[in-house]
Amino acid sequence: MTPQQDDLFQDLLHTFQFEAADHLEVLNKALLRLERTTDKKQRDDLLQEAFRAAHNLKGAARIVNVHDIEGLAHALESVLHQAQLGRAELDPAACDVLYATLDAVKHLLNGQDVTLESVHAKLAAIGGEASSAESQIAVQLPMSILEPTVPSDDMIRVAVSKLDNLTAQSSELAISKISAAQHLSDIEGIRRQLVDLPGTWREIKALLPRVNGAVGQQLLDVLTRQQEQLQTLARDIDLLHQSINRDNVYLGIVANRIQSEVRRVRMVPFQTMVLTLERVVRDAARSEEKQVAPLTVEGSEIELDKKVLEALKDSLIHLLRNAVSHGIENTTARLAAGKPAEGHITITIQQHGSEASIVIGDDGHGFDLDALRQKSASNGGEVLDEHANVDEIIGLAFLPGLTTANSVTAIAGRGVGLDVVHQCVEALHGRIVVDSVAGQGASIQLLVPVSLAMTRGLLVRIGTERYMLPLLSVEKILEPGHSFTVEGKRMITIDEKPCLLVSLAAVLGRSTGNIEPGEMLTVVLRVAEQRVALLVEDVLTDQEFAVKPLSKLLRQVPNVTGAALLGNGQPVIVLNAADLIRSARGVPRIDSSTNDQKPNGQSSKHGPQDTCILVVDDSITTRTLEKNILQASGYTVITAIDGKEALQQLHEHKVALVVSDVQMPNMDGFALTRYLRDSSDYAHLPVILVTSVDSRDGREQGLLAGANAYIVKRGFDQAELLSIIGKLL
Amino acid sequence: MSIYQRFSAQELDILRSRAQSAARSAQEDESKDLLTALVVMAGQEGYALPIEAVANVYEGVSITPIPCVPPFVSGVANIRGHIILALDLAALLGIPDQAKPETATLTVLANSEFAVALQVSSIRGIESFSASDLAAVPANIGLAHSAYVGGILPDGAVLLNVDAILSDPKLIVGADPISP
Repeated sequence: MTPQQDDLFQDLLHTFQFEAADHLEVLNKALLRLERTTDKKQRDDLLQEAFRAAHNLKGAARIVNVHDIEGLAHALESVLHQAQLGRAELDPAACDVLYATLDAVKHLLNGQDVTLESVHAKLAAIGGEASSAESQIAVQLPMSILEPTVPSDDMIRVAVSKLDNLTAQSSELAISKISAAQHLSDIEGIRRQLVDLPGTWREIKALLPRVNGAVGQQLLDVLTRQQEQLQTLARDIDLLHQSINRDNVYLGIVANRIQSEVRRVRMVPFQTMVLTLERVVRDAARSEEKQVAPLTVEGSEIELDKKVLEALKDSLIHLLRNAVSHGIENTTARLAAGKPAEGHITITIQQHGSEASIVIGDDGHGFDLDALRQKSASNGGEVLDEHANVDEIIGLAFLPGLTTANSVTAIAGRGVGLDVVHQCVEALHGRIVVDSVAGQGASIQLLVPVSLAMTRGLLVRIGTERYMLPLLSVEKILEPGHSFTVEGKRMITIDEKPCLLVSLAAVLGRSTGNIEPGEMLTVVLRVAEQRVALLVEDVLTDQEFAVKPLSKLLRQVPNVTGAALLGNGQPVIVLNAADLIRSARGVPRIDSSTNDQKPNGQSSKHGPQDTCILVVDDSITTRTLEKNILQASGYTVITAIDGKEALQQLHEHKVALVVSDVQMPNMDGFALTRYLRDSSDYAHLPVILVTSVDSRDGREQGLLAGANAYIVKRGFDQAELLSIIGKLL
Repeated sequence: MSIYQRFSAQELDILRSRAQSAARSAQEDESKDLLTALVVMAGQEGYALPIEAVANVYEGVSITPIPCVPPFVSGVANIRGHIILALDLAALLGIPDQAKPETATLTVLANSEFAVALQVSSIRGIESFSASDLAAVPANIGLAHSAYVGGILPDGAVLLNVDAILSDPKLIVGADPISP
């Protein structure tokens, strides 16, 4: 093949991938409907539609020599043909095979490996012919059947990367608009300078008669000429100003229009994902052997940014699988509870301004709160008493690192991938609201921005500086009110729950103006199930902005997402709500008497990022949790799974402090501490022992071994750990 | 990114080749290699930036500080509609804290990869000197960032190696991203 031919073939393959994806969609949709309908006419139509898609898939695959897909499509086609003739029945088991075949084709399209033999074996069992490569198809197709299954008129397919480019360019346009407005004000400045011209001219005319004779006359002539030139110049500048002003207004209108049109182009209806989700529910119900009605989706016409939708896809799949496998009870239990035999799962999408709400609801038995509570406590996480409300307990399930998938699923029966959902929604600057009624079902609401191109933000002020908070994460703004102190930490009550209160200036390590904390406004941030109340000096406005990365040099700045240009051209820093919530926990306490708090970020010269902490724990959950807490406070963290590996790490890295578990295989925390104290190199290395053993013996043994501090996991508290580390370093 | 520059890349190339040929003829005439630099002040000290390394100079720019970054990061500024990162030259070179003026003087560097500006105390001017007059840096004066220094000019200004500064991995903030 010549290079040109190769290029052509590559293009063809690319086209085939798109086309094949369309056929797969038609097949999936038809099968899902086939499974639900009993109407003879409808069944025949759907079979015909599916058959046509399988046939076209085969033809397209043959053109590009993708024989694996061609073979699968042929087998699919023959099964469907048998069904059309009434010789085969498409029961759920047969449908499983057909779906598996569609998935195999999808995997092949994505370049993944597929064990074709097993797929073919299953297909053969339900009447699928093995190969079409040699044997010509027995089925003779009428011409009408060969029409494309997807109408192609008035539609073109555009690569997302092209749209991304367009979006980037349209934001540049918005920025040029600001820049043009600045030029306009520059010209206004020049005009202002020219305002003085007539005055100066009067002065000159008043002085000139005093100059003698001929020279005076000559000077008057020259200056008059100059005055005329200047007047022409002033007039020209006036005209220029007018036309630039006109152009600017026009540019502004067009730029806004282009931006909103580009944004609209990127928007796709939720409907585009419904098929995938229907399959998820159907497949999960089959594999869990539960009776679940087909997924109901309301508001699927609502459009979201393609990126938002893509980002949500995995989370929605997780949540739907969870709803089927852990939410919906088995038929016996449902009937016993007086519920209909079939479980119902719904997705409801609503749009409120620039925010979309996606609610995944089921009529199962709800979250198992007791189990979650127990699991959290035994995991060394937060201990919640019986007074803790539903939100708080369910919030535990979403905490990353704290409740890992396996541990929670096994006991609480809920939680697979919930931390993944949490992270995903957090990345979109959205939030999660969970509702659960024992015995009646659960609903999980995801609140996400409709579009990522422009976001709404709340502009706040601390001292002389202004910062933008993503509006989606702002739950409410409160007037100065009553606060109280718990263990040195200031709290306020929001919705009858205590919430940590810190000053934004303290979190960011900035200085505040001369304002009493009691006079500050409180902005409550909420990301997923976590909240913090931030004190700011003023809330200025809310507005749309396009966030830009700071610079390639600043890859990751704690608490900062990027920067945006305000209407006046002034850059403003856009803060990261999830980071702020994490950082706020690291701010030890609010001291109302001083304004200059110890910065929590990395602004001091010897920032914590220079400080390496070794975390030793055989539990990956605890290890990850501690690592996350310490990293969020800016420390560099390395980990080891037992005392032995810890010693190795100590030889290889310069470690400033060790946080270690007590019970570990190979070499436990006590042995590690004793070893360190006896060695000349590490005799003074601070060691903090963290343990679930809360006994006087353990404490004494730990301190005897030479540990600097001993923390009991049950009372494990991030702020406590951080504050002890702060004291030891 | 070069939209905010006064010249296009092509024009700059032409200017540079002109400068080079001019320098060559000067060399032929005076058998000297002529260098041109923008001399800026960081605190009381003069630093020379090779003219090729400078895209533009802006005075009276207002800077938005960034929280939670090392002290050598001044903040971001709006330069002709672009958000440009400004680094504090004095802090980069370890010169003790300077009083921060209301508005900043920025020299935007001609760096094709990413836009970055140096905040300086003031601009002394454009100066030419011959390469043979450039003194090596004495080893014993203990300059904190000797890698940044290309030599010392006759008037005591320190010639900076801009490439060495910008490629210093120490400048990258958050190089090891916090993994979730």
